[in-house]
Amino acid sequence: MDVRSRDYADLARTIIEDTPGVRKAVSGATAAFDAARRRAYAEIDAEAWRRWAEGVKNHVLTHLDQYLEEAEARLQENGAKVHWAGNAQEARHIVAELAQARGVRSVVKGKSMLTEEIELNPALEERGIHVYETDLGEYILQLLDEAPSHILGPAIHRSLEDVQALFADRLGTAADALPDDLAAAARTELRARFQEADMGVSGGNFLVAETGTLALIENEGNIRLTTSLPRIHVALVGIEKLLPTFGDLAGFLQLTARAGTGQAIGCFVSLIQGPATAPGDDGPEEVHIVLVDNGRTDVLADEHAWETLRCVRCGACLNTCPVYKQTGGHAYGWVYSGPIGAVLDPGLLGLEQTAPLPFASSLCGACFDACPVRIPIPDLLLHWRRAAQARGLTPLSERAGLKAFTAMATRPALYRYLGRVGPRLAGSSLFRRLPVLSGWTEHREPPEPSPRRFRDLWSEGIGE
Amino acid sequence: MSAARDATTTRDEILSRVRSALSGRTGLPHPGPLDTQGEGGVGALSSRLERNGARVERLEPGAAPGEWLSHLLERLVHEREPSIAVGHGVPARLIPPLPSAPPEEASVGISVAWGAAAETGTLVLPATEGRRVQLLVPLHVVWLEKEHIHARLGDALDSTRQRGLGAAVGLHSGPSKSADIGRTLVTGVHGPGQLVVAVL
Amino acid sequence: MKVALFVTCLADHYFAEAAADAVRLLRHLGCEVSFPNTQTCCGQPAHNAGMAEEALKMAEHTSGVLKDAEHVVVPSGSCAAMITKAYPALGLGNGPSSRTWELGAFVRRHLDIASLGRGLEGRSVAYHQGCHALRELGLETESIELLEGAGAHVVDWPSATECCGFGGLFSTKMPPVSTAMADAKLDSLPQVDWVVSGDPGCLLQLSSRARRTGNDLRFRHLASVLWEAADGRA
Ligand code: SF4
Repeated sequence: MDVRSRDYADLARTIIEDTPGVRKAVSGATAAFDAARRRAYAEIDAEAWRRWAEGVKNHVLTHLDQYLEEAEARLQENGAKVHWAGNAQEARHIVAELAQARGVRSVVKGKSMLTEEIELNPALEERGIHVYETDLGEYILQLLDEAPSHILGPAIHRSLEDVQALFADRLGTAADALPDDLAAAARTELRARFQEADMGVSGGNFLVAETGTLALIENEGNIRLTTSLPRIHVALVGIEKLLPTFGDLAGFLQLTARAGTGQAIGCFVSLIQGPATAPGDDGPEEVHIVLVDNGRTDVLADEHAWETLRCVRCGACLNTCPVYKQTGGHAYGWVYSGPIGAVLDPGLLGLEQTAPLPFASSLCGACFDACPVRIPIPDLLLHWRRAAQARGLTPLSERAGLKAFTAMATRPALYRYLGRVGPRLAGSSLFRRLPVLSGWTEHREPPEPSPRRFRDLWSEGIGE
Repeated sequence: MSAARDATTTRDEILSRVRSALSGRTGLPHPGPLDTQGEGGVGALSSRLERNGARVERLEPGAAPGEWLSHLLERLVHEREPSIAVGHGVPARLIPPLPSAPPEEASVGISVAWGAAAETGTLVLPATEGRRVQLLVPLHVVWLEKEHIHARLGDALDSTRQRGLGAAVGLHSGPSKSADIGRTLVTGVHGPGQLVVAVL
Repeated sequence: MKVALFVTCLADHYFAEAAADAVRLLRHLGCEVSFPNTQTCCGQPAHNAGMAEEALKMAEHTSGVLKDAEHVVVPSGSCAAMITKAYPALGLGNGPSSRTWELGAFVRRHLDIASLGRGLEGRSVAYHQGCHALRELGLETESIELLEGAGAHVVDWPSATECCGFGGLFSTKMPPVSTAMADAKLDSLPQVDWVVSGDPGCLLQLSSRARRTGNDLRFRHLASVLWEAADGRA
């Protein structure tokens, strides 16, 4: 996926102005998710659970080398093959080579943001391998040739009408088909793909070092099918996805579901240790786990941003974010959007390519309260803003303006003098032409200054 | 350079990047187990499963399980001749007298759970009984012994681990569902659209 | 009780009467109010923009201005949060942080006043809780209790705790997003006499957007409404 994060402001404007349906669809869907999350948190001691989850992730991340080695050893004992990919290109190469060497002609996929991050599908298609997204939302997007706009609900920016038109065209359903009929049509189509696929590709929610268990959470059952039906299963797993012990799983499975959708747990969870060898097990003959770095060790080395690696990709911060709600994920210009994208993307891609993202926030703080692993997103937004300013990645006028304001405001006499005239210019044409301030008046009336400043009222004496 | 050496090099490079990122950083302690304080029993399990969209039925005292299930399926499956796919290791007495079919074609799949967790409404299903029976059928019936119900998910998973995780374990807590189309809930998207838990 | 008013740059210039009402209210409640004349801005604009050096300069300046104050009262949740939460993070732990209060919280919690009077009888009010007051200072109910204690009906506003979209620099850097956020709040607003907030920035954002879209809602700063509650004037 091309990185277009530098164009955040333009992308956001275009979405808001040209496709008002997106704002409506995303606002509605995220509000429902967020309300469900609040109800689900209220049923548990959410504060204690979140602190616990933060602690487990902090432990695993600060011992990551040991846990990676432990996970590798367990998986190998279980008969799985472990691969290591330093970057996106290596990860693509590993999967594509594997597919080609095994004579794979078609691949079914479960939803995985990491495969979007490393752009796996085109690499397989280039080699003549058919790739089928099987998550219903991802399937819709594949037909539309669009990127996901939300971690959990990849197609939440699309309305029922959009899907009706798409499926009528591609699957021959009625123009006014109901969601049940549309889903049934997709199911029929994809069931055949599952049965003919030689390889299933998934991501991974958690990888337990102690037992070499790959855990996958879902509601549709397509991930269980992806990891069970084809003879080869390949899972792409970010190196930050580790959990230390099997005992940690129960808490994380529940907390992730509660944060993301408000459920007690996903309808289906797959706990995968390795290939099927026992009698009766009709699962895959081969299981491959690809451990992917792709910038994560750089993030780990950053003394502030490393905390973003706790992320379990639940989407709660997106659902509660008033900024995300107005545009959906496409405005952010890369795979990870919303509050977590705004602090993770600069770490994974570098600030040069993503500088506007940390500024795409009003710093309202709602994301932190929602996050199941207590990532201090507002603090990290400031961290990246400071880095962007220090490296001159923001408009010069902005920096100059704030410097001038500071120079004035640390000189009380000058401040008092200029304060008498400044606000009065607000309604004037000069105000509308200043670059920073024209941003205000484009969509709003100029603020109305008080007839007299407070300090003038004070010096005249304030009577009761 | 051989592919194998390439692979080891990448592995070692990643691990050494991790180590250098962590050098000088204090290792933080594991906080210990989380007490999720779930409630146990058939009642708690049933109410959670029903919230998850599943159906819970309790075997009538004295009834023969196979016959009883057969009658139940008559009400639930609107087909003249429902067919069943049965998981490996399902005891004969739990199998209703209905024609069998492969999971790809059967209208009902029949499993036995290893255990369950009341706090999440979760059934533990081993892969060794055959995954297709659990996944490809429109209606999935899972037999569950009352004694195998744990309050907490963590306990259900621990006992599963003691029995052996094998290649894979499936945790089913409700019917297959999605709200990806116009935010309307649909069931039976890929996996079974109906989940019936039959408590013994 | 001795109280220094930190008026904030926005209230000084855009909500001067409301800040004066804060003084009247505090005096009415028995406080001796001072106004350290060299005060300017708390430094939040620079801080939130990531201008670390400038933020520190402003924070040092303001800490100096307020160093002798027994209590600092701020008619802005956002600026109060800047002083109480960000100053220590900037290394100014011994500054005015622990002595600084948002106006509503000072009256309700520190002065422990539940009812200022019945001056708001019959009024219906939508209360916008600024994000920093709500999430950084943990102020959820203080101002609402004061409004209700004076007889006002504080309506259920589905998006009451959602951000208005101001965010300082954000409002001019990302104007379409910022105003879409304001619209989302205003669209869910029930019929009320006034929209009240303890944050000048939020009030500027919401009122400026409302005026642009031809909405004639009345926006009022908490300080004026509380003074009205105590004084019983219309
Ligand atoms: S940052 Fe937190 S809330 Fe956001 S997706 Fe990650 S875990 Fe969920």
